[in-house]
Amino acid sequence: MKKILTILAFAAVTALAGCSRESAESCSMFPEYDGITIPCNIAPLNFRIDGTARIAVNVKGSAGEYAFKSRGPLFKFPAGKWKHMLETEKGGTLKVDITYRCVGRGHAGVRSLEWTVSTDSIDRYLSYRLIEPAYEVWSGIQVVERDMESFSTRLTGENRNAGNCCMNCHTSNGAGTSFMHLRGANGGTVLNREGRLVKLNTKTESTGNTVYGDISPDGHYGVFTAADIKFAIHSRIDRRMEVYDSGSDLVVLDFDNLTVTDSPAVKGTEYQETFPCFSADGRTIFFCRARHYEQPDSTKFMHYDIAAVQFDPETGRMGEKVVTVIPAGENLSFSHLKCSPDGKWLMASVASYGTFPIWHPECDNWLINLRTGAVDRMDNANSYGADTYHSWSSNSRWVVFASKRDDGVYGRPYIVHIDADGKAGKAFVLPQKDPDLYRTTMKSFNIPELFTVPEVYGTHDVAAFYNKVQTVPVEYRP
Amino acid sequence: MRKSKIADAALVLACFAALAYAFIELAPYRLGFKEQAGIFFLSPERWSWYVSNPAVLSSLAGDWLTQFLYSENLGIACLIILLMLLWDGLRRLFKGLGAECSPAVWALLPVAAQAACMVYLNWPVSAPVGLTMTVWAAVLLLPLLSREWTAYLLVLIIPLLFVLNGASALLIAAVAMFAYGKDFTKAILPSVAGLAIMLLLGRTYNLTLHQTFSWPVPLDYIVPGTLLRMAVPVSILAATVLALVCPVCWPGYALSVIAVAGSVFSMNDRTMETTVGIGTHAYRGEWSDVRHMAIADKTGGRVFRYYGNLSYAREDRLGDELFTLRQAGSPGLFLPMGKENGYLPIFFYIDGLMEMGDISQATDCALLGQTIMPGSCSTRMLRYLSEIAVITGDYDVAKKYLDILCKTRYHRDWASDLKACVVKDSIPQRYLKLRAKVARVDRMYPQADTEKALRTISDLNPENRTAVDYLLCLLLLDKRGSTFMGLYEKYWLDRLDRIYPIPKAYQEALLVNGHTLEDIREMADYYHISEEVRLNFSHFLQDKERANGRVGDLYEYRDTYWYYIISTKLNKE
Repeated sequence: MKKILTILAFAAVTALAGCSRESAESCSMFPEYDGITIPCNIAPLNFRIDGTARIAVNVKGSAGEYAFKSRGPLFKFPAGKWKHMLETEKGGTLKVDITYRCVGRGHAGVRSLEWTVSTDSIDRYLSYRLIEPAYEVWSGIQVVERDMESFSTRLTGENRNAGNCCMNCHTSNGAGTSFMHLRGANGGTVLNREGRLVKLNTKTESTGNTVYGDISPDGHYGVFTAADIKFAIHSRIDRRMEVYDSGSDLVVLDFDNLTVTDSPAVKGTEYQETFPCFSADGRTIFFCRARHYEQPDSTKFMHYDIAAVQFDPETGRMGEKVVTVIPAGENLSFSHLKCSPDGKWLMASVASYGTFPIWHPECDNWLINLRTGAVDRMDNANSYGADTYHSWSSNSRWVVFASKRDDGVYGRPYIVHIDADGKAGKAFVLPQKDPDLYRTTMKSFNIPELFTVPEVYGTHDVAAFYNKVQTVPVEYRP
Repeated sequence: MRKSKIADAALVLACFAALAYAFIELAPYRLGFKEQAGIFFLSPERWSWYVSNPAVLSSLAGDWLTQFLYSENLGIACLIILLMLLWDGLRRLFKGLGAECSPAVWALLPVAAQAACMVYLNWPVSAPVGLTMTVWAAVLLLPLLSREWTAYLLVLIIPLLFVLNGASALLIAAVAMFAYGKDFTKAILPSVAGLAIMLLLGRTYNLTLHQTFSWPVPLDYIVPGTLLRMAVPVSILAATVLALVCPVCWPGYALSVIAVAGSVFSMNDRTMETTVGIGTHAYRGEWSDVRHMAIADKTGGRVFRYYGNLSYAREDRLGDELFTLRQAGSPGLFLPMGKENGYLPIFFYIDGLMEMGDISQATDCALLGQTIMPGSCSTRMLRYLSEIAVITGDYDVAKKYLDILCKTRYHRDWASDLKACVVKDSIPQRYLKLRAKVARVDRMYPQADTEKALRTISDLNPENRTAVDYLLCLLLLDKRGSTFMGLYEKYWLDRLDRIYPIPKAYQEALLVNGHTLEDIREMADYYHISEEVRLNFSHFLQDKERANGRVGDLYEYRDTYWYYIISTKLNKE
């Protein structure tokens, strides 16, 4: 009898193993969530295994075991149980065993994953822009605020009731000040200062249109690129659009007095300056700088260094001496600088040339230690697709960035953990209620930004600001 | 009573025949084009798009019906059934409201307006679907309105119908006014309250007032004119008023005849129909039909010239057949790409750009076309984007597009076949041929600068004959003889002329732009010009001298470059 049972057990195991191999070929899991560190307050990591009829998930943690089951290819964790599990297993590692049965054929499969639940929480709100990845026109732009602890979203801007204008660069300092640019005939920069909204015309006779920017930690100032942005086409098939500045300088906006100022150190035609950001103490402005060449013929010679200039928060003026922090050399170009709120790190997108790398598949995010100058290429977090436009969480432990790693065209928000030593974990895509959204959407998730508090305004305010509110001019202060 | 039923039946048959004739004979391409401009498939995002806008039911049903327009006959049958349902609903509604004269006749007016709108390229099928559903809802609700307490249901019914069917919910308020307009509490109060809730809902949906009152026709980019959008509601209102107040039927018959004739007339824009038609043939790969339409075109339309030239370029015969078509400068080789020129050129230009090897601008064009479509998704653009991704070797994104197309009814097979090729990496020969045309070295050039793009591609891929052909033909058509000579020497002489015979148009241009009469033979030897062309040129020169400035006398040379030079005045397009 024992022998028979042993033979039967062996046969069953062999059959199951055979099924697993076969099903592994036919059933693929999406998104890939293995070997990742997740925030203790993240929304459930729902996933799909195509072609499956049933999925069972068994999670083993240090404090207990959690069993979940579902029918069909979409696996949704129950929100309450998920929250409880993360809360209980905070700081531990979860072994996730997934068993599934394929439709019709009866094949079974097994997948094992490992998740580390970090004690570091991620900022509760993420804003991003949904936009078609077309090169220069837009339709149905939405600026969305997503609750990272659930799947709920709220529109903070939508262009269909705002003259189909372009909306971009929703940026905040995490302390009550934020701005968003509206383009078009009635456009302007919507500035929010602790709930008080104003639409600014930031262009003056002496300074150009403001584009990329950052807000000082105290919320009194904003530093912006004033640039003339242009487009060019690549002749080769592995490149797409090239966006470049025919000229660019830096300006500082004084939000209290509504003045704009510049500095001889960061204006003029010898160099092009862009992507400024404040240091955590607000006394330094980091930015990208390259020697000016005529473009697009010489765009490939535009290699942007990381540079810095002093900033005096008392007077609101930039210093007169520019220091090169990291030279780009001949094969690199830095963009999208962001300092971590704890002041330890500076993250930059690094491409082979140029200033707008979202169509550069070689572009990665690098982490620079501001104390030692050491550079970490974050191999765990980066990919073969363009990894760009990152945002720090307020505790400096999480970074969200836009990555085109999945198909090369459509950006998706990826989350990565940065530990106290600056070691980056493996990045994972922002969980969705049904991750199939990523596979069928024709929109890119663009310009992700983390916030601790929800934005005070909504889409109706933005529409009203676009359609009814007059712009307030800012005055140039030499 | 019986007589009236027979008259109604006769009217139905007459309407059916008229609509069928109108659609089949006058606008099949345009109806088919609706399918290319939209898409129906279900996914989390599509569901969420439907739910986050008004007219959930009619948008879903309308998009579902639109896919059948891929098949000409099935699509027309769907639309005719839809319009007949609308007519019957309106007929019953007018009757319910107490129209004494035959309501069937008056109901024709809005149906004719809707039929005329339907053949506008981007009038969504969801609009008549929503209206039909609301009309039938009104027919069913009419008895309820007679009781006081049920009239208050309007407060809920109007917003509910707005959510389900869109702005056509206004019709219910109009019906209540017509039925019980004198009774403030039964009609006016609940209608006004219902409309107020509808407006609030519009705000919740994040719509402007204008969008709330026209949804699901909010296509700001592509449906022109407020008047067009107003045609249907205005005709409903007029028909209702006339049905109720006109004591005799004969004006109704007259007006209906005028309305039907008017709608047929509005459909009968042959230029638009054939323009959309030639693009549709190209989309379906029916290139012999494309050429046939291009040659048959008498309007000299740019799209026809473009497609005619492209049909030859696909066979490497552009230089040979350039003057077979009626040319009027280089714009006939290309199409404008900006969204200000409308979306048809954007839809059509992708074929040409792919053929020239300008794959970046082809991608730009396809993404642009996708972006300006309703819901930012069109089957035609998805097919192009899939093809472009296969050509460029971006298989991940190709699979994304093909997976979406696999969820559609009529493109499933095509997408599955191509996906299988992508998975096996056995790319069809046609795409490999297009891939071989792309530049091999990277260089940037300004967007929409066609000549610079062609020069760049010709520089960077000497084997791309199509780009060189387009470049040289551009110069010939723009009468830039000396530049042609320079670039011919650069790109064709001792390069491509070792592989291909010299196209006829180039031989003719070389003789004209090269030297004087005395050294024609020397020229012919140097450029390897055929004896036939050389002799023909000699005859042309003699005839030209004889013609003494009368261009018409040289008509026998109409398919030569020499005739083009003297007969064509270039206009900026």
